[in-house]
Amino acid sequence: MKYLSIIKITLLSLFLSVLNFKAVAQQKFHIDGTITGLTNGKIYTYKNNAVVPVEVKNGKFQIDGDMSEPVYNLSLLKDSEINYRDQKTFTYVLAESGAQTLKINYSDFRKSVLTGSKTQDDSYRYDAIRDKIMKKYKKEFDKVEVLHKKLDDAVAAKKDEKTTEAIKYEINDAKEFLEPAYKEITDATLKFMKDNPKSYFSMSTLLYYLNGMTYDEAKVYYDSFNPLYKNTESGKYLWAEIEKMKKGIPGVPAGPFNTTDINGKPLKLEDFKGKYVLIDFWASWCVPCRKGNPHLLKLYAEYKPKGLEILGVSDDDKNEDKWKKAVEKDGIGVWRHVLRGLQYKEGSHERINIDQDISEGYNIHSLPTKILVDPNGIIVARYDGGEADDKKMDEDLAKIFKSK
Amino acid sequence: MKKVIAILMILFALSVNAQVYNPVKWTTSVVKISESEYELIAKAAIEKGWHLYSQTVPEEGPLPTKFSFDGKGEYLKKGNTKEEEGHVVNDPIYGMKIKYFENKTIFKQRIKIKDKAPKQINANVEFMACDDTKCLPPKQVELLFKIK
Repeated sequence: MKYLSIIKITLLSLFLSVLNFKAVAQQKFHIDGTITGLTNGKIYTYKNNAVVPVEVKNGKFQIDGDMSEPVYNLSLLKDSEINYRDQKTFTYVLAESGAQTLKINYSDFRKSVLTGSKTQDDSYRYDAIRDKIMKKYKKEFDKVEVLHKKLDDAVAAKKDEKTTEAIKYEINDAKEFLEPAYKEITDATLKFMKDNPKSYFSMSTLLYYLNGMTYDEAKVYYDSFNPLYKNTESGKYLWAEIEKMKKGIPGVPAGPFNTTDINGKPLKLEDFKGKYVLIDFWASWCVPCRKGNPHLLKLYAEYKPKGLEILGVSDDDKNEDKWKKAVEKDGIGVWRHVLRGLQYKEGSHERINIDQDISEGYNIHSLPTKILVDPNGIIVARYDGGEADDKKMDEDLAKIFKSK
Repeated sequence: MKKVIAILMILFALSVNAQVYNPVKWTTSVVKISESEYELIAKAAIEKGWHLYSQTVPEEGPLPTKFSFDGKGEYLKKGNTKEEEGHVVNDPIYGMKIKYFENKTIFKQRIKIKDKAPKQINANVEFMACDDTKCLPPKQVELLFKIK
């Protein structure tokens, strides 16, 4: 399931990522553009976080800009407002310093062609590889698209929940047939990065494929990249994300903590030494987390006598009362509970005491996430939400406690 | 007469969660209602499968979406931040009615300028998002409303 929206995420995030860079002018780019399907009018681009119009005269236009990085992520919009749902109305190209030419097709921005940028050439080579795979699975992709349209129509027509839920199930089933396609795309992407380590395109792509990787795998790619690009904002951001992958993954020591539990008793990681402990990252406001509590209770009843402990780490620092009520309501007070320790500087959004935040020590991105720690304090597994991961967790626990 | 003023900027804070999930994207615009009144509009584009929650959810439910507007006395808020109808479901886990938004939604805040219109109004929105199997912890995104 993780592969499902990779393409979309990649597109949108790349599209947006450049906007964050601080504008320290060093180099400039210049684009000479022609457009088919529009003689006089306007198209749009982003500049310093704002949409700015680009004047089109006699089917021609020019765009100039300062570059704070070796590659400029130039977005092109048909309208003054981005319309995510119609992919024909926007695109981005990777401009380099100096002069380049750009051809835009007004009826389908995805068909725009930038000439004169090595990075963009790399991107086109990659697109060709990806498109070939997508073509192979065209039937499956089309099916999902048709179902999404069906769902949109049902929602627009205010159909009841039973109808929309049924369509969602259909979509899920149809998406399963896409798994091999996404697997192939992922493999092809990794191969591309391996074959083209010095390309800026490779470096900017890795961020979106970290999810299925270990720290060591990610580091091999990162080490092979162009040092010039590693020093850019996006390169530094990528490295920070890779560094985080060292935490909370199988094979590494569980992140230490020293805190007070829901009953005011001190609790630290070492207290669980000699036992398996399943750390459940959840929150009172997280519906999928709480849906899983009955199942956790069942596991606890089964394996507690054999030496399993559960520790609930809740993202409820802002409202302890809600946390306590949820623990009581779901009947999960049988195991120990602590807050993650999220703290803000008084009256601001600035986080403080990050080293005391338990979730940080395990690199938690979404809830629920469960982490299984062995009697020596080493992480043996990590489970995200979703059926597949739940099943894996059940199997792992059954295997561990079979002989006990 | 309503006059649509120069619009839009995509605002997005490169969040801690950007590695994988960023399902709600915010854009802003401003509509001039009269010489002294403006409507600040925050639009959320929500990725497929994700839910954004209402500003009002029952006490023990999910965390509501929350707007705060910075001001140095240049304007007054007229009424609360308005939101769309959304979907209301009876959630079996909470045992209560919970309202959420899908695909896209709009929040509107009417303001009245006191003296001279400020060039821009800063605000922020705090929100959480969930899909069927997971939730993202609440985060704050800065919103910038440009008044020209």
